[in-house]
Amino acid sequence: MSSYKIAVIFPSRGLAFSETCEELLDNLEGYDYDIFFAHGLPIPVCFNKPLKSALNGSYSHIWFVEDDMMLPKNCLKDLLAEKQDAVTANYPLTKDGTSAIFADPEGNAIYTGTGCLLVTMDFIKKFKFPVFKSDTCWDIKINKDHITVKPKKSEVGQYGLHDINFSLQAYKNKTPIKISKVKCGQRKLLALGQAGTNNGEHIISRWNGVKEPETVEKLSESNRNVILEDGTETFMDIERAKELEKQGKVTIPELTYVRFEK
Amino acid sequence: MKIAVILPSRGLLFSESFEELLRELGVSSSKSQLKPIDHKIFFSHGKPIPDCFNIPLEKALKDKSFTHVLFAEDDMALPKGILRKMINGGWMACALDYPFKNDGEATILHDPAGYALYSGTGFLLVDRVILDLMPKPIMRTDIAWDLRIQNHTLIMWPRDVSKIKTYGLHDINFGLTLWTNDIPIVPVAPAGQRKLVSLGLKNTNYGAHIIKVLSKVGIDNITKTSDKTMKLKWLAALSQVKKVQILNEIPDDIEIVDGQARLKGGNDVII
Repeated sequence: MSSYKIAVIFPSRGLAFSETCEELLDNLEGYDYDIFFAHGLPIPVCFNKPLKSALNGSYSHIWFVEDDMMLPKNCLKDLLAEKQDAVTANYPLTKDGTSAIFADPEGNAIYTGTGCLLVTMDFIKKFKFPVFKSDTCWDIKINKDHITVKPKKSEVGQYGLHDINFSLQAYKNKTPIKISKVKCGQRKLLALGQAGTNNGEHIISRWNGVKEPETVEKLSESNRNVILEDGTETFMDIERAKELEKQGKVTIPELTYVRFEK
Repeated sequence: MKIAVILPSRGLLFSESFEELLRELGVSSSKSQLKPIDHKIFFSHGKPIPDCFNIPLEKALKDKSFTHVLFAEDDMALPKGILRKMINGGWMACALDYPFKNDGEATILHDPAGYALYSGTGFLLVDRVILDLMPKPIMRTDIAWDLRIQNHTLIMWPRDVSKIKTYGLHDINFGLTLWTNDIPIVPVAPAGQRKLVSLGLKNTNYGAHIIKVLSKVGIDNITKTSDKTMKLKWLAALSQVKKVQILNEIPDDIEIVDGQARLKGGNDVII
């Protein structure tokens, strides 16, 4: 038995793919674990409610698994082996394999989904409760070597957001979610099987392949972001920036690939 | 004791049913406060009946360490602590009764002594000794059973339906096989069954599926009809039954018309 103790957060709209359930149990074999379900609750409550219960326990890790994931063998073992505070598997968001992750060049997720995400208890405890929020969305501008994000109130009917908020918050806290080598797939229900027959199989599509995460380019060493006296941000030659910083005219912020705007 | 759980699924299972099954098996140990039951779940996904039972069952029976087999379907609503109650009963075979398609229906047909002539396979615990003795494949759907009540006797006979599209039947054949071999299934308690009413909307944070739970078992109401008069006639006749007779073939005065058993020259076969 592993020394790890895993709390699985398993939010469901009420139906889970049976293969996902089998893969989940296969992955958990040999570990001390508890599964915290949510049934038919809206996002983000379906994450927060079971998470709150899990936080009362003594677990080493919290593993978020969504009910439509295709979890490879040893997925959990491999995620744990990476020994990260927070690590996500990549998986497709679309049939053509669009990645669930947007990344910086250093292997950090700027934002990611919550389909297969492993975090330590210490990591998650640094977040204020409720951990998952969907009341904020972001104007995201993707530039060549960085992205800018500006928060705005989400509108009624927007989908998800809990995952983007969570991962951006982790990034902002300087504890970004790392990207694992583990890749998952995703299942989609195409049609319900016929009721009242012995051949009532549901028609399920399986998205196996996932492209590499979209990423911004590595920031140029000679061209840095600086903050001017009036608070605006601009780019300039690093040597010039250092000179101006000595004169108190600019501030050179910590190198980051995400600019959080107010 | 070590249980092989046979979990056949059409591809989706109700998440609450899955949680309840794990709870009964003591999987979420810190939550149940009970010692986990030694078990392994054998899934099958999207296979037709009876393959969805037979394939995982045959795999499970190859492992001699399993002492019992639990058939657990993906839509059950299980009473808390029921599996331990079934285990503690020490029966060779025992099952839960639950509504078939609507509240007020049943999946168990009782004999006059209170045993099940047959049950559903929704939650059925069987000692492996029985399964080892049964001819393979254990679950079969090529035989249907018609019945009538005559002179206080419930009479059942088989009919070849191998070339007809049918639903289920594996459970009835299984139960009757046990009953005719004097190892009847013991009915333990009522349970519920989940039904999907409609799928939730996609791409919204409020995408819950609409699910109803059937929880009212109408003892011995296996009529599968909404006709209340028919149901009452059936139950009244059944209450007069003092013995059960299982025939090997269709009685002389019965004919099959449009796939239904009928009295020759008449149309009422059940009562």
